Amino acid sequence: MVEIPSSLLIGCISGDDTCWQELIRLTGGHFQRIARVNLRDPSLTDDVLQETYFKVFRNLHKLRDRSRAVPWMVQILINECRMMNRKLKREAQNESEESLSYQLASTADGRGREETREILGRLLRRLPEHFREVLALREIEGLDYEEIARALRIPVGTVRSRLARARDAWVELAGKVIEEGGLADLCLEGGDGVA
Amino acid sequence: MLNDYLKKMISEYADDALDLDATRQVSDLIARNREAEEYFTRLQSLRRLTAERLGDEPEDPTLELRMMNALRLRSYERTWWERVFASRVLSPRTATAVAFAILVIVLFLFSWFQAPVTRFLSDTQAKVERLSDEAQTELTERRQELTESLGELLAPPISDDDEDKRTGSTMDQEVSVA
Repeated sequence: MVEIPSSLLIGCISGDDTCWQELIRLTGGHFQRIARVNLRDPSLTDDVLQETYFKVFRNLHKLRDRSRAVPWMVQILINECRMMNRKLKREAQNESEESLSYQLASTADGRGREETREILGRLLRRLPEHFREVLALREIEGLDYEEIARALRIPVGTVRSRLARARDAWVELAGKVIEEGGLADLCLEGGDGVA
Repeated sequence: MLNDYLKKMISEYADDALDLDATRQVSDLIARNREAEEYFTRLQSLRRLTAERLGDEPEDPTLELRMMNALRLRSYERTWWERVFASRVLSPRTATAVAFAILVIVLFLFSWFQAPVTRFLSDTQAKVERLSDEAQTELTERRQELTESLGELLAPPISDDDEDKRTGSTMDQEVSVA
């Protein structure tokens, strides 16, 4: 994850537009990836990012330790994702969810990089929220245990155990997907495939 | 069958987060145990593929502009009451509840203040009428005074010749009588 210079944060607090633009440029891509994986509906990524940046804008002056700006912002983002997921869950209570195997079958033909990305995203979204959060921060954004602990406000020991359980569930779910005919890329890569 | 503890150790081994002894033990386990080796291999393949595909997504070139635009709209153009309205009153149930509460408050205030307001209006009306009468009376008196003053001013003055004539005729009358 990126480092945000203290001077940039000071510029943002003083209301400098250029600094805000730079802050968004530095963090936008990372936040977008985290949100896409954590949201039940990735098309709402922009909404969640807007809300996140708005809350950062409103509360940045309250941040005491500027070296922890990124975990703090990730924490806001994760909370926004959770809130949006709860809202979506309420709205979709009466709708039957498509099975992952059906979704995979619909993209089985002519699968390229984009399709694999889509399947991997869906695979992560099938996991429980607390597993998905640690996996997204560790596997996609490459945060270390300490940073994840700060971002999720949980002890490092919990991060370790949660990550292990999340990976277990993840590998198991991926195995099922491969049995259903999805994620062929895993089987083809270097002969050390999952299946 | 791998237990949770071993899976946790393999997970931390994959992250290179174990100390030297633990790393050696897990490495030995993976080398000797086929199930552990399979689990580790699956995990690493999945991690690698995910990092490649999801961790390296192309940057969205317009994201920055979209976010800045949204931020400006929300931060600079909206006032606090607009934000409160948008966040609190837009849902139909809340809007109905708020409207009902406002109606009740208005009715309560109206019933509470009806008597004082009526009294105030009656007093004001009486006062206005009294002042109007006083003004009318004063105006009439002033007009009358003005008319009298004008009458005095416009009356013809008595000259010295007339006075002499009047005195002369009086004397003639007295002489003739004598």
